[in-house]
Amino acid sequence: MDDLITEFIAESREMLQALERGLVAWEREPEDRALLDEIFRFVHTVKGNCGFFDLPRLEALAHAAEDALGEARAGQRAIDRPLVDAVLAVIDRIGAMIETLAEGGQLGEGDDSALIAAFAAAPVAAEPAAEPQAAPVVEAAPTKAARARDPFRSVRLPTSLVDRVMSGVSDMILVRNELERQLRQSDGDPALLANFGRLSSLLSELQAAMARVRMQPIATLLDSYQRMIRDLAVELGKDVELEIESGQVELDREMIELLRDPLLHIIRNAIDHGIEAPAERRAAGKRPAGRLMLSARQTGNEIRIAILDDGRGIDGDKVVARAIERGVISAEDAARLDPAARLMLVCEPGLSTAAEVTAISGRGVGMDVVRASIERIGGKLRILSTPGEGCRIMLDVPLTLSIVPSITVEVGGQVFAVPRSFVREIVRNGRDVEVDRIGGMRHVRVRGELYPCLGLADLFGIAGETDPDRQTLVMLKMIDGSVFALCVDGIADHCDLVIRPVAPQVIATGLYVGVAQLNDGQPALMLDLHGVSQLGGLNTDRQARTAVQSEAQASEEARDLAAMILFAGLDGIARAVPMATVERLIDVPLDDIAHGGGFPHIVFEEAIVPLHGLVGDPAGESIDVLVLSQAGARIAYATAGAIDTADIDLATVTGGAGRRLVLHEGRSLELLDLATLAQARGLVAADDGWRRNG
Amino acid sequence: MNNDLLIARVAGERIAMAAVEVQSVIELGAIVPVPRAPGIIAGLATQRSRTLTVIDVALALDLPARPHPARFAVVVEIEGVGYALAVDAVEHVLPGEGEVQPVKMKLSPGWAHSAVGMIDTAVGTVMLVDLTRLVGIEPQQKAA
Repeated sequence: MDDLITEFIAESREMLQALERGLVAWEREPEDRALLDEIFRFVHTVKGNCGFFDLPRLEALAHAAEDALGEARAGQRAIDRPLVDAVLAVIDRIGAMIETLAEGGQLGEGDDSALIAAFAAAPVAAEPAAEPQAAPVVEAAPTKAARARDPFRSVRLPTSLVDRVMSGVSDMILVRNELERQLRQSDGDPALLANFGRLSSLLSELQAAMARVRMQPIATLLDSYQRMIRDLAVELGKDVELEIESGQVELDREMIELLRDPLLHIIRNAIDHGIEAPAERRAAGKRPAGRLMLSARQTGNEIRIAILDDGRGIDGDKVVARAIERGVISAEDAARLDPAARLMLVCEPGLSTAAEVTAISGRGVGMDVVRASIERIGGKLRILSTPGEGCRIMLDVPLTLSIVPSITVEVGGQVFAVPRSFVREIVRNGRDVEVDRIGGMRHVRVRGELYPCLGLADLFGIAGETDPDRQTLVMLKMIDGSVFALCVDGIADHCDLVIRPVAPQVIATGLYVGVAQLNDGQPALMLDLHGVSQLGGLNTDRQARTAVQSEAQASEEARDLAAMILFAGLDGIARAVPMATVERLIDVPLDDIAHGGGFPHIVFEEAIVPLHGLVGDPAGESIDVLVLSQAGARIAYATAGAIDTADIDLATVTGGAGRRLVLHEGRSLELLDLATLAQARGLVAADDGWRRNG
Repeated sequence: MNNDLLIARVAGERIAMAAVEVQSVIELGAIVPVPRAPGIIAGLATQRSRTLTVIDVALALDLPARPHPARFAVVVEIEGVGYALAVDAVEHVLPGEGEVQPVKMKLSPGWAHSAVGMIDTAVGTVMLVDLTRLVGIEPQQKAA
């Protein structure tokens, strides 16, 4: 009996899942016979099964829906909104009951009469429009639905088990490689070698199959929004036509879960703020039904997910006005933004242009979180919009979090991995390459184009190859379109690497994204190229305000820029401090500034932080204080407010180790040197990024 | 409750770890360095297909540097990440006797960061260390 009910639950769940797409499609094309049949078959099966299990509530519900749908199939009843709503409500209830049963619960006494009565209220068809068609026209949509109905046997497995099997396969491959080395050294028996070869290829197949186990069609994700979209549209009194185009694209399961919430948010926004009510659409000369399209396409090892609507679009002017009003951006900075960058301001924290805050969205805590989640998984978000015509939001995300096509590079005997997607080309140093030093930074000229060049050995403090003729340049194209050359000793291999997470202390360096095991069992760190380029002093910052600039603009600009915070000190001197070293801007009441121990200090996050820049007796009750940190040293700096941000050209830095100046819009600013200040207090600041920046 | 302790020797001192947290003890092979990582990260080592982050326990506790690298490592898993805690030797697994006594003296910063307290064992009184804090993200890493 238990087995039977488990079977029943599994079958019902499978059918329900297959129905998701069908239900919404059916509402749009109620005359579609294939879809109607599919829904009918579901309630019929449920009803039939209930008889065995003594589930009267479930049976009554299924029965009522079956009757109504039976009449509709026979053309005795019009398929109208009340009927569709009633059927959907019953299917929801059945789904909920099945989940209760699956959890081992009892259905108990409940009242379903309202749901059943809804069928009685639905009018009976009078007009011949709903006459059954003798031969229903089968078009594209029903074929899709038919495919979804194909019997699909599946098992549910805990992810931990899958991971264990995968790491078992990885272990086997390592042993195979070791064995291969040993066999090669001995004069192996040919028969033995042949068998080993077979085992080897079987293992590779197994590995490839295991990699697929983690993949899931993205259609399962996109389809899961159908019901939400339909319900939301009804709730908001909007008419939404949904199109989903996902092809055969597959994504890592984990990735699908990570995309679920950000996509949900974007879709809600599109329906709530984007698509207008039917009357408004008509007035604007549009079709009353708004179009929402979700599509996914694979390009290389990236998936592009697009959410497109033909609603009112995003008004760049309004976004900018709101951003200025909220203090997100200054008016001058805003004036310099190109249209794409203006739209990207909606991703700044605390900004929402919805005239009315609704329960659905528009609380202003949305797009910034969406962008952060997408960037966290190595993706990128872009917004295109024409006011009045609609909006297109594109997410480019990597195919998987775990398997990355890579090249491995060697420096001083140590191997590092680089994601192949960043590699534009590999150039032998010394031959067709001219080397220049410009502004203190090494540049290479490859076929007439000038690129900054970073030596991995120098950056990492490894003794590498010093003869330029024996070095190799890996030309890397960053997400913002800029290209730089990474100078290494040589290329070790091209391979697909399984990237595993690495300890948080290692991630915290900002230089690595994970670790992979090479064929010989040695670990190889995968470089975070963004972090590496920053360590080398290149400005490819994606977090700072510069990221708001469009790709084209960013790639045209000189790259020796550093994002800095500009402020006036209490002594009236304008100062600049690199954004990367600023931990927080806090408001400190004057009473909280203590002078014990011979130096002014404040207490910040339960630690004593020396306060610099305190001159005279500041007016007012409190002052703005910047908390700066670098290499473990933390200091606070008093400001007289007027805080702004700018990209400072590092080529303008003048002065020695003591006070240094930078140039910004024709004015000189004092570059705040944290290392010097920290040392003045006897705190040791390690020599790293800071000094290089200066 | 199991109060077995693993007693290890690091730079001439004994430390105790809760044995339940220890997965295995391995002999360290080649260590792949992690450039620009905090000093206590000696590098990466592998245990079959698993990559372990090697922690220089002596350095984490502010003990004097050894002339030669540690040979053994205690494998633990903290927040899903495997670590190999490099020590000079693993001496015993013993039950702790009595309660953990709070530390009354002033410890050097490294010890103060990781020490839980002193505990008596059959081989004498040893300092019990908290493994999460021992490998934990050090304040030095807050810098961008």
